[in-house]
Parts: sequence; C-alpha cells; structure tokens
Amino acid sequence: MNESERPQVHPLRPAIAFLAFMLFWVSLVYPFGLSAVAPYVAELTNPAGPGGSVVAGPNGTSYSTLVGENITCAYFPGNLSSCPFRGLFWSRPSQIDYEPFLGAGGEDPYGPTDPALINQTLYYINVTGVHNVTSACGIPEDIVTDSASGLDPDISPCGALVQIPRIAYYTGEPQSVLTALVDAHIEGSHIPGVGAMYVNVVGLDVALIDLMSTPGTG
Amino acid sequence: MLGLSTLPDVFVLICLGLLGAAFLGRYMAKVFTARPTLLDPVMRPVESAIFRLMGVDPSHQMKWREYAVSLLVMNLCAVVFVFLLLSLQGSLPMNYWGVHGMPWDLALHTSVSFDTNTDFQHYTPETQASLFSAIFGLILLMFLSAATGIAAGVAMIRGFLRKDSTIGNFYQDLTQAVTRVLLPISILGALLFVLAGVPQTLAQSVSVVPLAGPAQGIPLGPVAAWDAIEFLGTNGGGFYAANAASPLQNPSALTNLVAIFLMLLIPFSAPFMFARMVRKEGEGRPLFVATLTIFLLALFLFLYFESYNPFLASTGVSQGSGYLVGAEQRFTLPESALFQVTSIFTNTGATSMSLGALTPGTQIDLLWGMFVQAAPGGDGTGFGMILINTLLAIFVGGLMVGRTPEYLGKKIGKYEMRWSTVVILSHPFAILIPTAITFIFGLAQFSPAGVASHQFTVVLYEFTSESANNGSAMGSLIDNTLFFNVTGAIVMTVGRYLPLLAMLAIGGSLASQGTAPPGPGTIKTDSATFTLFLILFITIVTGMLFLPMLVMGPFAQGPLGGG
Repeated sequence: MNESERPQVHPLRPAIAFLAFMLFWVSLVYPFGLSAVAPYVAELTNPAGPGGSVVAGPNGTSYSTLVGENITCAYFPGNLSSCPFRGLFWSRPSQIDYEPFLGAGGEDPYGPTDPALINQTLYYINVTGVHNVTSACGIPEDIVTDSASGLDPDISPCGALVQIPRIAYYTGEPQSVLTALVDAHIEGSHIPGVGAMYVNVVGLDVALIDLMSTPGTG
Repeated sequence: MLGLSTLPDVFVLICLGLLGAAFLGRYMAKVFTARPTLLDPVMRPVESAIFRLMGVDPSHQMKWREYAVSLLVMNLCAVVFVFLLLSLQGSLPMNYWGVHGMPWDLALHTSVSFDTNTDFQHYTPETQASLFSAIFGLILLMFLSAATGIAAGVAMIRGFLRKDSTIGNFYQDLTQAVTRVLLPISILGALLFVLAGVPQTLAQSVSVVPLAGPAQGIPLGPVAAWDAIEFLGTNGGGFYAANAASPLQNPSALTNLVAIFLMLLIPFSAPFMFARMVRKEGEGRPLFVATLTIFLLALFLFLYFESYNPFLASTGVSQGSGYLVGAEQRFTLPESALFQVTSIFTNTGATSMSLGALTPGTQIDLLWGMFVQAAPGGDGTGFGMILINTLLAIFVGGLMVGRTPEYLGKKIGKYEMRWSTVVILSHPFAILIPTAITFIFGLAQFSPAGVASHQFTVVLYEFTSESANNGSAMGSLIDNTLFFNVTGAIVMTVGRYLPLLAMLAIGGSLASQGTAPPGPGTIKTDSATFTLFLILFITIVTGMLFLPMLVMGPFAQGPLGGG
C-alpha cells in the first residue's frame, strides 16, 4: 500500500498496533459479543441458560445441573445414623469436597501404583458399605475412587444401585421403589452411541426428597 | 479388553475431524497463496485497516531474518504486555474474585506459557487470575500464539515454492491466520459449546444453596469463548484448574467430542495445505499417513494400558469399563482416551482425566507423544517438526543408499541439516538438564508424595510438557515455586523459539536455491516405502533419545497396565 512509508516505521509500531487490533477483536468483540448472544442461543437447547445452569431444588435450595455436591458421609465424624445424608445417594469421593473455587484439588491424584491409592479405595469401599455387594455390579469403581475434576456430578447406574440397601434402611422406602427411581434417572447423551450412562446425584437426591415428602406413595 | 460397543463414536469422530482437516487445509492453502476465498468481502476491509494502523505494506516479501525478527518482536511485546497485566491485576477492573497481582516469577511463567502456546498453568485460575487478565491477556495470547505458529509453518512451506529467498510477509500471515482461520472457526465452535450447555456469561460467579451444607460458589465467565480457542489453537490452558475435566468447561460427552474435533482440525490440515501449496498432491500423503499412524497407534496403546490396572486388583473393585480412577463418569473410556491422546499429541495439553492417575503404560504413551512433537503436533509448529523430521529422514536415507539428499527439487545441504539437528537435540537437552538439576539439588516437593519412580516421572513430565509446548501436567508436583517458574519459562522459550527459528531459517535457505528436476538419484518421497521409513525413523530417533528416561520413570513403577 504505502511502499514509500515503510522504511520510516518504528520497529515497535507494527507489534503495538497489532496488539491493539487483537485487543479489540479477540478480547472485546469475541468474548463480549458471544456473551451478549449466548442467552438467546442457549434458549434453543438449554432452558437453564448459559449462566451455570442453575435450577431450583426443594426447600429453598438451588443447584447447578453441571456441578456435583458434597453429599456423603464418608468423612462424617461419629455414627452414620446421625449423618444428615445417611438416607441420600452419595456423590463420588472428592479431594476438594465439591468446592469449585478450590479447583486445584482435581489435580492431586494418587499414582497408579501408590499404596495410598489402595488404602483410600479400601476406606471408601468400607465406608460406603459396598464390600459385600452381591449384585452383578460388583464394587463400582466410580463411587470409591476420585474423579478428575473433584466436581463430577454423576455416578454410574451401578454406583446408585449398590447404595439402595443403605438408603432403604434409613428412609424406610421399599427397595423396589428406589430401584425404579434410579432407573428413571439414568441418563446418557441424547445421541445414540455417544457418552456413558450416568445418574446425576443431586437430581436423583432431589427426586428422592420429593418422593419422601409426598404422602401416599411407596 | 473392553467391549467394542463403546468405540464407534470415537472412530466416526476421527473421520469427521480428518475430513474437516482436509477441507480446512485446502482453504488455508488458498488463503496463504492469496487466492480468492469466501471470506474476502468481509475480512478485506478489516485487514487493510490493520495494515494501515501497523504502517506495513503486506505485499512486501520478507527474507527469513526479517520475518524472524518481526515474529520475535511481536511476541516479546505481547509477553511484556501480559506480564504487566498479570502483575497489576489486583488493581485492574473486573477483579470480581478479589485476586492479587501475581508475583513476578508466576507472572513470568504464565505470560511466557501462554505466548509459547504451552499454556502450562502454575497458577490456579479460580483464585489467581482475574476475569480481566483472562480476557484481555490470556485469550489474546491464545490467538496470537496459534497464529504465530501457523504463520511460521506457512513461511517454511513457501521455501519449497520460491527461488528469490523470500518466505512471505509475517504481518500478513499473522493477520490472516486470525481473521481467516482462528476467529471464524472459534466463533462457530463457541456457539456450538453454548448450545451444548457450556457457560458463557460476563457474570463472575453464581452462588447456590445446595442440599449439602452452606452456599456453594460456582466460578463462571466466558467459558465457551475460552474453550473454542483453547482447543482450536492447540493451546490447552483451562478456564478452570481441572481444565476439560471440569463439568463446567466440558459438561457432556457432546462437548467432549466438539473439543476433540477442534483440536484435530488445524494440526491435521497441515499436510493437505502443504500438498496444495507445493502443487504436488502426492507429497502430502506420506506426511499425513505417518502422522496418523503414530497417532492411532498411541490411541490403541492408551486404550489397552488404561483398560485395567492390576495394582488395584487386590481391592476387588470392578474395572469392567476400564481403569477409570481420575476419569469423569459422563465420558466412556474411549472418549476420555481420544480426548487425552488428541490433546497430548497435538500438543494442546488440555486434560479431561487426571494424568497422574493413569497407568504407567499410559504415561509412557503420552510422554512419547511429547517427545515426538510431530504426530501431528501443535498448530503450525507441529508440521514444522514433521518437515524437519522428513528432511533428516531423507538425508539419512540418502546416505544409506548413496543418493543425493533432495526434497521437492531442493537440495538438502549442511545448513538445513545443522538447524534440523539442533532442533532435534535441543529437546532432550531442555528436558533432561532441568530434570537432573531438580533431583541433584532436591528442589521438588510432591503432594501426595507417591513412590520414587512416580516422582521422577512427574518431574520428567513437567519439563517434557514445557519443552514440547504442551502444557499438561501430572499434578502432584508443587510447581508454583521460584525454581519451577523461572526454569519453566526458560525451557518453554527454548522449546518454542528454537524450532520456530529453525523452520524460518530452513524455509529461507530452501527459498534461496533454484529447483532441480528430479534425477535418477532422487528418493521418491511420495511412496509407501518412504512413508514406512519416515515412521521408523521418527520412532527410532525418539527411542534413542528418550528410552533411558522412560526406564527410570514409568517403566519402574510396576505393572504397566492392560489386560
């Protein structure tokens, strides 16, 4: 374009000008523009919206369908019968107790041949009471070992089914009703052949609480 | 072994990714040889505005030294800018999470890390980077580093086309990499992520009242926008510390597949772009096939080693779906595996599994990808490494059968070989010297401690990841220390700019010679024999350089895993 101007350009000018150009397009227009249109785009598929997919739960609670919660009695001090979550489905173990702002916890796993891995797994097998499971599920890996993020909202269908004896004992709900409840909450991606089957723990627990607060069922 | 029923979607996706790469490669060849494309009417005005602002003439053709100086100055300015941003973020706007300015060593490591396309994170995104830093510093660098790599790759390829010593105009290549490739595809990718449920908001966080205990704060931000360039640009730094394992960043099997698609796209498009640019369709094939073979082999080995961990057998835990410690429930093992292999072998470095929890065999598999750096490697630079390996293979092959080393009509001489050898040898140097220093002076601390061979693997992985500009980590190393921050910044700089300079120097040298017609002594590089030779060459050279280290690390940990 300006062939005659070229030699006079300060060596830093192209770099600084390009950074300004990038700041405008990729740091301003791109993320801010997308944020502006995101609610309308998300409406097509995700009614909970692009703001963390928060929905209302029972008794004034709310939860994000994306993130799990620290529903477990694994480290409850004292007797299991006084733990508030004894009658609920438990989440996977988490090094960060499902606290998203402590995100780093997902990154400190035990090595594959670390004796501490065995100890932790045995502890969880014991505390979740799945050591004497006789069903085809065996001891489901997911409910006795860490996830990658420490925020995994899901457990495997087996991971839910093996918890039913404990829940039936503490809630008095018949096992058949609980099994039906779990079956109704098994999800996968909506595309055939894509993704694993799973149960969203908080969603399942919300349904369980609803079930117990509705008189005349079960 | 695993049931095969969970495999099909993974193979469909690989095919889709390669198909997309083929289209993109042809499109990029048009863009970088100034032929008309669909986006011309939209992007021309934007581009001419920026050229005016920069005061450069995009038609001015640079020799390699001028190209390299422009590239270095641009990136140095960007690093300084982001370094200042991160240091001062405590008093800058949009600091909703109340973070402090980073200490100088952490700011240095972070800015160099994102500038070199490594995106290794010694900081915790949720607590140590403000939204302002993420948007105006890190997103900017993610675009810039990917564009820099693409520009250098294109410039090197031009060396095979030209005879006047020039390899293109850096500013034009850089601008067009952003306006014609990265930004349009990122916008589409981000919209897909929003549709699939990834958060995209300028709200800093949302607080919920969970069933379990007190309020739970959930950090948010423009995650979909971040995701798209993280994967497309083979950057790999997470918006969250858990990266693509975080259910906020990668909430479903579908988003996982979209992420893999984006990562495959540009690295695998390079051989197609190359074939189009040198106008010899057959010449892209050996590079593509060699790359893909190493990649698929790695995927197969990953699935094998990760299918079972004998060490855990004594606990009686069912491993029917594979060894899934440190994996997320919503992905099948083949999906997690494809994500992880794609991410490591494209040098993206995003993680959807806890790498430290993987079986020893799987760790070897991933380290191998970072040793090779070229199967397919990162945006632009990966293809540069493929070409450098190809030049070496031709040279060695030529010596073995007594033929003249030439490639696409260009003689491969002392100059090209010197640069290629320096690049290949700099990788083990940049990895092994700091690893040795770490252990000699006992500078590493681990949490959890783990066994000694695992500790060695973790440190080896740290420096390998930095030198390869990968950015993934095995976790248990406490790496936000003065030593690891400063050493890491040096290793990443060497691992990035030495290969980039070599690519430009080789391109410039090839561009300065005329083209000789193929004689009877020329190796046929578009043949199956050469493809096989290239695969073996890469494998043997990598093995010779790195096998001893693997023996001290992952091999020593115990059973490798698998059936």
